[in-house]
Amino acid sequence: MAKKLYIFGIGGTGSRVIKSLAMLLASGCRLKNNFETIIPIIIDPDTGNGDLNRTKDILKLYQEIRNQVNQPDDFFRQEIKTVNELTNKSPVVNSDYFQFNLDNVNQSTFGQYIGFNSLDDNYKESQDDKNFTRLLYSEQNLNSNLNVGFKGNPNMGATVLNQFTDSKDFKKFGQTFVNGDAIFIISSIFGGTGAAGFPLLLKNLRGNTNIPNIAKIKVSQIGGITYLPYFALDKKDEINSDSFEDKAKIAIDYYNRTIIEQNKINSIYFIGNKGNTEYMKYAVGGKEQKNNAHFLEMAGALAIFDFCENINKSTNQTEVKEFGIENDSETIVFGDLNLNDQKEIAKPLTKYKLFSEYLNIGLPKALNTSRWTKSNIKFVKETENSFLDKQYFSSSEYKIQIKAFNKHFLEWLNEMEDNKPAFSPYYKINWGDALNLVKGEETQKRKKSFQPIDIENCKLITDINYKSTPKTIHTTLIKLFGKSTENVLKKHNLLKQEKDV
Amino acid sequence: MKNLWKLCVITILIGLTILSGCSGCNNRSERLNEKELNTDEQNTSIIVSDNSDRKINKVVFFLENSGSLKGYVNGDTDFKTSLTALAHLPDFDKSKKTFYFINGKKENCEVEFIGNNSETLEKGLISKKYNKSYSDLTKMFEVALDSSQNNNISILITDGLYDVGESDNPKKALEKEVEITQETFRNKLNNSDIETIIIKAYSNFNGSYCFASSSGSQLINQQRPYYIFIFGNSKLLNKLNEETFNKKVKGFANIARFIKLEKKEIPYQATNKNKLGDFRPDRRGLNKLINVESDRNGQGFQFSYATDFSSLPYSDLYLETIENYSCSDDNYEVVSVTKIKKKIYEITSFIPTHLITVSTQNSPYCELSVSLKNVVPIWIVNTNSDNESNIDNNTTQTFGFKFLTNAISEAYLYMNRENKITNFTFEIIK
Amino acid sequence: MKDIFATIYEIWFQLWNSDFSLIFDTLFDDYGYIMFGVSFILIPLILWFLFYYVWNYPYGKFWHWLGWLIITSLFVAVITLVIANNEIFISNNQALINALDDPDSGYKQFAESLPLKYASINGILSIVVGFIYSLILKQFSKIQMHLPF
Repeated sequence: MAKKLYIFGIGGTGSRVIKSLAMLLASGCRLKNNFETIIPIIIDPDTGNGDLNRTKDILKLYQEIRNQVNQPDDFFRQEIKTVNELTNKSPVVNSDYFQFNLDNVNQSTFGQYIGFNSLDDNYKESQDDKNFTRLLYSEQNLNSNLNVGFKGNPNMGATVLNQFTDSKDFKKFGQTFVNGDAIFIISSIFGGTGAAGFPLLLKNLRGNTNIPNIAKIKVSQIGGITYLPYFALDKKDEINSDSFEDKAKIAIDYYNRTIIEQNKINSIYFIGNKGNTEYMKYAVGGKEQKNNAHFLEMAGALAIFDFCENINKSTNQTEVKEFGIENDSETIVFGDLNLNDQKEIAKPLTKYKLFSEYLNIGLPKALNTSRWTKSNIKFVKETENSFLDKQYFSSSEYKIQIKAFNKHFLEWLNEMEDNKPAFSPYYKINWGDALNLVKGEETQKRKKSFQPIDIENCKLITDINYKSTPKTIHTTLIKLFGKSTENVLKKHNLLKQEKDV
Repeated sequence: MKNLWKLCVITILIGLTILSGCSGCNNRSERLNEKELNTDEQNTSIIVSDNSDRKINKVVFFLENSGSLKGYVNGDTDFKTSLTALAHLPDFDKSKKTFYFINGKKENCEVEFIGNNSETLEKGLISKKYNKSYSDLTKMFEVALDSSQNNNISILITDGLYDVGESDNPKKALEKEVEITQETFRNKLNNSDIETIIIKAYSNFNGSYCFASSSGSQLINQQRPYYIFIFGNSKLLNKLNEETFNKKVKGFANIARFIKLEKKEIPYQATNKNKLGDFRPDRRGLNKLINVESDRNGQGFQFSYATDFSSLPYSDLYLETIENYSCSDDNYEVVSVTKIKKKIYEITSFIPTHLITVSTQNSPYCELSVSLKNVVPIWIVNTNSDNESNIDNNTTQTFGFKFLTNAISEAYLYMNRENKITNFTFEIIK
Repeated sequence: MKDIFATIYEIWFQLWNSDFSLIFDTLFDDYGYIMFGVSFILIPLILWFLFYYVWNYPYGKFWHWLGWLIITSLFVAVITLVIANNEIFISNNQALINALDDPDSGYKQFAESLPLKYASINGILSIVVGFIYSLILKQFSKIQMHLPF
């Protein structure tokens, strides 16, 4: 039976991990054990957050592309939906539905949110709630604008986020939940939103009777990944990255007592990196908070795959897992990863990398020249003509969707490469040595250029399964390249693991 | 581009393979030689005469020694020289020879033995031996024909005069003799394949010319014709050609042959010589002319064919006389027959001797058959004289000669049923 | 088969000359015409097969096809030239050999012009045949289906 996985991404980290997940899914990775649909739910009051908006944009593009592919079986094969689509059965793609709204956080300060000004300060009557509140929150806290998040203050987050489980969006989530579905929560332990939101969310999922279908939800499989500090900021101000570690320690202790020991969660994953970290540009939320993609975010996405793969093996006791690589390297390549992780991501990523680089570098040579881009071949059956002609590659759908998504993908890889530790499994390539893209896997075959891809495309273009229709115009492109990159990978031994298989 | 070069290299390798295969094609001689031997029947049936097998066993000479021939042996005449030469013909070297005088009438026909060798012939060529008063040509023919059985040939030398005695109507008498002669020949031809050669030769005649159509004689000293009749199996006589007689018989004038015709197919093939208009020979049958077109300048259609007449005993004169040919289609006519002097390379299956040209001014499309006819030579007609009135001015003619030769020719005509020696057939289509 | 090829060279292209029929009869009988025919039929088939099914360059353009057409034509012409020379001047037909040896016959002079004529004809025929092959073979080609158009 087809199952759904609800992924709650809390805060900026949640957004970025979901983004990495989307990239892996676009490359063809898929969840095991019949998890057909992923429903990402981003919880972040910082609606202008750069990471959030980028992720939402990517998810939207993912859906738009996938909706235009008929029965994808390689790239974009995993279905991503919003809760709104599940409840309204609407095909309209609206990226806003990936985010759960928090009421009263726009244009409010924390003080306004809690109604600080309306609190009593009559200490004579022992109704001095204001001053009591001041014990808990600093003046700075009270004056913080909530629309940029909680600035690394979980105490604020805990208060504000408490309301979201009563929200309409959350109720919709409950309505769509069925037996067999599972939940995964992504958060960081050192931030404001994630640190507060994770335990709050978990508590509600395991016991808030106001949630529809709570009976199913509370017994469902829940996993989560908690990010320990893995980057620093280049400036110390309202948010001080030096405090990340201390906050993490406090939070872990809390988790241990309230979550792990009480077996509130089936699997919890920890991930982080000490030393060798990049210094991110300081930003207090908003669009300026647009951190470069980090290897650990992709690694965190792997936890989701692991969670689904082992979902049938979980017991009533919380399983704690930690991420590691085989070789501690400043510049991580595929060979530095654990073998299972290599198998999970090396091939799909390489294929999609090849695909996106091809569209940038290789396509101009082939367009309107190679047989697979010709739609006006004479004296042949009409079915021999290709859908992927000049007109297609000039269309707005291609430019706005495929090209835009691929731009994000390459950006994502480049950011990981520029980060610390760097994830840099690929060389910079040009047309002539395109197949020498994987580090440590130089191909021995003579043809190292994009030519083999064009050859494969020519051979595969007429496959009936790749036929586009006016409503599924990306079918041919996505399926064709899914297969042609696969074939080229195999024939040219681009990945060691493929040889071993 | 590298791939294109690779393809070119593969192509060159293929080409070399094909070329080496081509050179192997030259080693097809066995197949082709075999094919050459099995060529089209219509085109290349070479009639091999089996003349070589037969040899002349005996040559029997019969010299008519009636008084009318005395003038031929008076003095040193061409008659004597020719007979001597005839007796010494190289073709007769290996054969026995016997010489007889012959004369007389019917049941009283006398055959007098002269001798068995050529030297004894001289004994016979003296005036006193020519003293007989009567000669019966029909009987002489009969005796001579009888002597030409098996592999023998007989030679009768005569003046060719039918002696009808003192008849009131010599013509009627001649006609009667002709019937008898004809019957004699028919009887012989029925039983055997006998060919008759008539040679006309001239010699000086100094003596009494005895009239055949009346009594009396006239002294003359002038040239007169005499005749050598040769009888024998055609396979033996075909070896004796005109050239031999021309050389050996002094005063040789003409020759005629009468053959019991058998179907003769001799090789022939259309050529492009003397062409007017255009055509192509069909490769499946070279005497089928296809894509035939008349000459664009209005000169009709004309073509030649080469043939090998070497197996025929006829003289070149006979063979080159266009009147001796007929065409089955009235639109066509034979316009020339010439001896081939220059090699025609296109003809490979036989060695052609003559080129025959046919032409038409009308539509050329038909099934054409050109025949070489068996006709009595014109000289025979011209040699005939119906009277003997002006004998001292007549050096070339013989009284009643046509009756004599008619008797022979009609006997042969009767036996042959058909008057054609051979046919050449062409299919001429658009 | 011989008749078909003979018709092509002798009638369509009017090479037949009745004055030198021995040459044409030799070509007919000794399978020379068959060799010519095979050249302009089979060689282009092989070459175009290579072009459509072996040459896997995916950026083939019209001028590649045109170039191959010309190469094929030249190749066929050269092969035909060699075959014609062999078949005419090194034949098994003694009569033809004799005719060629005889300077008065005119055969040699005429024959010397023939190989080039056959080569040219076959070159042209291979272009026509090659074009037809292209239209057929391209139907099943994965990579060069778009050529020539």
